[in-house]
Amino acid sequence: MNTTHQKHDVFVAIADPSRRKLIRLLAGAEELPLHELTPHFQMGRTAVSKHLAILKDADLVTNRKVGRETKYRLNPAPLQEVKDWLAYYEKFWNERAILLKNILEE
Amino acid sequence: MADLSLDFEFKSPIKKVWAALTNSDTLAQWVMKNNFKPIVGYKCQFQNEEIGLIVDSEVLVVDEPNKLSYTWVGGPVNTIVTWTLKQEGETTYLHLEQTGFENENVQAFNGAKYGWAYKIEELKKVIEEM
Repeated sequence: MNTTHQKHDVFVAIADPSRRKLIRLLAGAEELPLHELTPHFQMGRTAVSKHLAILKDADLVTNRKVGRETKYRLNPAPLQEVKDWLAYYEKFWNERAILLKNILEE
Repeated sequence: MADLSLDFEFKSPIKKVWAALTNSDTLAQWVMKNNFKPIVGYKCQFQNEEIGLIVDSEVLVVDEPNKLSYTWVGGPVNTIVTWTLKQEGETTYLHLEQTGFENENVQAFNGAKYGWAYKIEELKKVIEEM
């Protein structure tokens, strides 16, 4: 397993409910500007923008300038890493249980 | 569910299995080097120097010999490990659940219906495999 900085960010990024909501909103559209995302939240556009920046750091969101506004788009690929860890631990515990069996039944 | 759920069985009495789950020296033999103690609220670490994995843990439930639960925070993974034990005859059934792999986030993707022309394959993979 690699443990790059970016991997860490993916888990931090999806740990927050507001950011999960942003992911949901972006999953339902091809691309959205900030002013269409902000009304879904109690917080202001600056706060929403900060959450988007964290998602962007984790490579879960990409953005591009269109005229005066910035449009955001979801990139689901890094979520694969969550699945990788699940598979990792499935293998880990199955292997450990064999060791445990040897200890218990020797 | 993206959570992990595994079942094991041992031809061994429940007390012996419980001891293997809670004794630090025994845990070191089958899980990892550790300073674990079965005391609720106790904070400890599991370490595997070979692969550079350090897991921070806090004991949550100690219900001897039925249930043991602790947090399992290693690298980017923030999960809870829960062991449930049950003896029937000479067999002890051990159930493991490791929860907190953020499955909620994956369910969010089930709502995605359009706008995916160029990412659809990745999306499908994420939804189907998790």
